[in-house]
Amino acid sequence: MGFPGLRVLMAGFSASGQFLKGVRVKSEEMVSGVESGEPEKLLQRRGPLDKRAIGKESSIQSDRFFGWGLKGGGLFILALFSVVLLVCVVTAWPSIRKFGFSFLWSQAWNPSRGIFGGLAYLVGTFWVTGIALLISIPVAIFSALFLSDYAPKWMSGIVSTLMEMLAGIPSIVFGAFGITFMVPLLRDHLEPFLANTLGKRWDFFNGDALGYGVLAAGIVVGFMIVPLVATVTRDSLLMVPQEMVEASYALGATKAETLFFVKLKAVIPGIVGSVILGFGRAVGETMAVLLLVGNQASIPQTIQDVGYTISSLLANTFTYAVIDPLYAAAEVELGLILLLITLVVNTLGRELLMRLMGGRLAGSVGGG
Amino acid sequence: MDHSRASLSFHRRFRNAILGSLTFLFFGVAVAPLLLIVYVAWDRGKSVLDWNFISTLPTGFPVGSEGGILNGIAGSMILVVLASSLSVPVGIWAGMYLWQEGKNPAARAVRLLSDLLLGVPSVVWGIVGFYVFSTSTGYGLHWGFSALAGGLTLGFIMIPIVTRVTEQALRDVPISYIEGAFALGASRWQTLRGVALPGAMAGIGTGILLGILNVLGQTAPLVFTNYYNTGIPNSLVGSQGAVGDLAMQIFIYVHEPSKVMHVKAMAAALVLLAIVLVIDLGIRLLTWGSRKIASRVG
Repeated sequence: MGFPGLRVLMAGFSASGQFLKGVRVKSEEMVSGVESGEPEKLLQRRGPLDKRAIGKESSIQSDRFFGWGLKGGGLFILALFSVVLLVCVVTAWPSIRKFGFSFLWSQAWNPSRGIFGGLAYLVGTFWVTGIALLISIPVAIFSALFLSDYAPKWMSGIVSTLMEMLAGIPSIVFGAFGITFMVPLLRDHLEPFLANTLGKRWDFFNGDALGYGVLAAGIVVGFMIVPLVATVTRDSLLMVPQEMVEASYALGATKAETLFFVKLKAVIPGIVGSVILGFGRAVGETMAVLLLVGNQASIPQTIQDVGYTISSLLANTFTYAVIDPLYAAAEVELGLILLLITLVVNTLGRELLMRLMGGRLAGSVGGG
Repeated sequence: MDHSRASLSFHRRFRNAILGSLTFLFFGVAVAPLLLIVYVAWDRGKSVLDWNFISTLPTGFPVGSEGGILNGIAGSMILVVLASSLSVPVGIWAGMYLWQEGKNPAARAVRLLSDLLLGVPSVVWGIVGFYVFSTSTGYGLHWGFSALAGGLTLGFIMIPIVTRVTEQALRDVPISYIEGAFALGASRWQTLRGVALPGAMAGIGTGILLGILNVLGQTAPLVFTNYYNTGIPNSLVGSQGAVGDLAMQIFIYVHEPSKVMHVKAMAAALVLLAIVLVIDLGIRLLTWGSRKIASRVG
C-alpha cells in the first residue's frame, strides 16, 4: 500500500491538534469490532509525541534507509528464485546442448554409453499424475460441496480441520502406508478384480497384478492432493453470491439442482484453478511415488504396470549420477522440465484463483 | 427445502437424494485415508513403541533392528533449528517488504516469485541444495553431505511459506492501527515495530509452524544434501556432519526387506505423526479465529 497517507497525516498533525483527535476517534470506531489487541496500548507504547518523528530531516532520512533496508527482503526472494533457475539450467546445459529436443521423445537411457532420452520418465510422471487427478477431482469436488452446503456447522468445522491435518501428513508416511496397506490390497483384490472384469473387454485393464505400479502410486498421490483441491474448491463455493442461490430456489429448484447446476457452474474457474494447483503438487510428489511406482524405466501399457517418474528417478539415482557430468546433466534436465511444468502450471492456477477471489465474486482474500 | 417436496416428480426427488448422499459418500472417501493411516501405523507399529524406542540409538544388524530412533528425532530437531534460523528472519524480512510495498510492480513480481517458490518440487530443491552446498567439485560451498547443507536447503523451502504468511498476518492488522500510529508521528520503522508486528505475532507464529510442519515431512531434499546417520554427529559440516532424520529413517527402514524393520518404520511414522499433530494443534490454537491462512498455504 506504500502508505500514501503518511505525508498528509503528518502535515495535518503539525497544522492543528484537532486533526489528530479526529483520527483517533475514527480509529476507535473502526477498531471496536475487532477483538484482538487494544489500540490504546499499541499506540501508547511509542509515546504520544516522539520528538524524533515530527517531520525532522533526520527522521525522514532514517525512514528512507528503512525503506531501502526492507527492499533487501524482496531481493532475497528474487535471488533465491534466480539461484534455483540458474543452477538447473547451468548444470543441465551439457545435456540440453547434446540432445536438444530429441531428449523429449527418445526412450534410450544408457549411462554407460552416454545416451539419454527422458520419454519413459515423462510418460510415467503423467500416468501417475493423471490417475491421481482422476481419483481426486470427483472426490474433492463432492466433499467440497458436502462441506459447504450439506454438513451442519459444527461438523463442517471439525472435518475442515481433519482435511487440513490430512494435508499435513508427510509424503513419506503416505508412502509407508501405501507399501504396508495399499500394495497388498491392490495385489490381492483390486487389480485381479479389474483384470477379470474390465480387463476382459479392454487390454488397458488387463495387466499383471503386482501391487506396485502406476495405479498404486496414482491412488496414494490422489489421496494426498484431495485436501488441497477440496479446500480451494470449498473456499470458492463459499463465495458464490447468496442471491444466485436464492434465485434458483425461487424458481423451484431442489437443493441438489441448485448446487450442481447453479453453484457448481458459477465456480468452474475456481475448480479449474484448484485442479491446476493439485496437478502442480502431484507432478512433483517424490517419496510416496518412489516407494510405490515400481521404478522400472518402461512405458506403462496397462493400468497395473510399473513405471518410473522424474522425481523418483532423481531421488533414486542422482547421487550416483553426479560422477559423470553428462549423466548428471541429463538428470538435472529432467528436473528442469519438472520445474518448468510446475512454474507454468502454478502461474496459471494462481492467476485464475486470484481473478476469481479478488475480482467478480469479491472478498477479503488477497490470493495465494 | 421441504416446502415444495410433495409436488416434485419422483425423478427429481430421487436425483436430489442421490446427489446429496453422493457428496457424503465421497466426503467419507476423502477423510478415510487420514483415519486409515493413523490406524495402520498404530496397528503395525504399537508393538515396539515404548520409551526405549524414543530414547536410544539404533543398533543391531541391519542397523535399526534393535534399539530406537533417537538419531532421527535429534537429527530432525537439528535440521528444523537450522532451517528456521535461515528462513524465519529472511521470511519475515521479505514479508515486511511485501506488506510495505503492497501493489507496486516490483512487489507484485516478488509476490509471484515467492508463490512460485512455494510450488517448486522437492527434488528440484534437492538438486539446488546439492550444487550450492554439498557438491565436492565446481562452484559451491563443498560442505559435503552434512546437517548444515540439509538444514539450509530445508530453510530455502521454508522461506516462501514464512514470507507469504507474514505478509498476510501484517495485512490482517487493522489499517486504523497503522493510521493511528502515523497520526501520532511515528516513523515507518516505529509503526512496524511497535504496532504492526505485535499485532501480527500470532499469524507469523502460524507461518513458522506451517513451515516447520512442511520441513519435518521433507525427505527428498535430504537424499541430495544430507542423507542419513545412525548416530549423532559432532560437527554440522564435512564428511562426518550428516544427521539422522525421522522421515529419512522411515524411508530407509521401509526399503529394508525385513519384517522387523517395517514394524520399526511404522512405529517411527507414528512418532512423526504425533509430532506433526502436536504442531498442527499449535497452529490451530494460534489461529483460533482466522483459519484463512492455514488453509491457504498448508
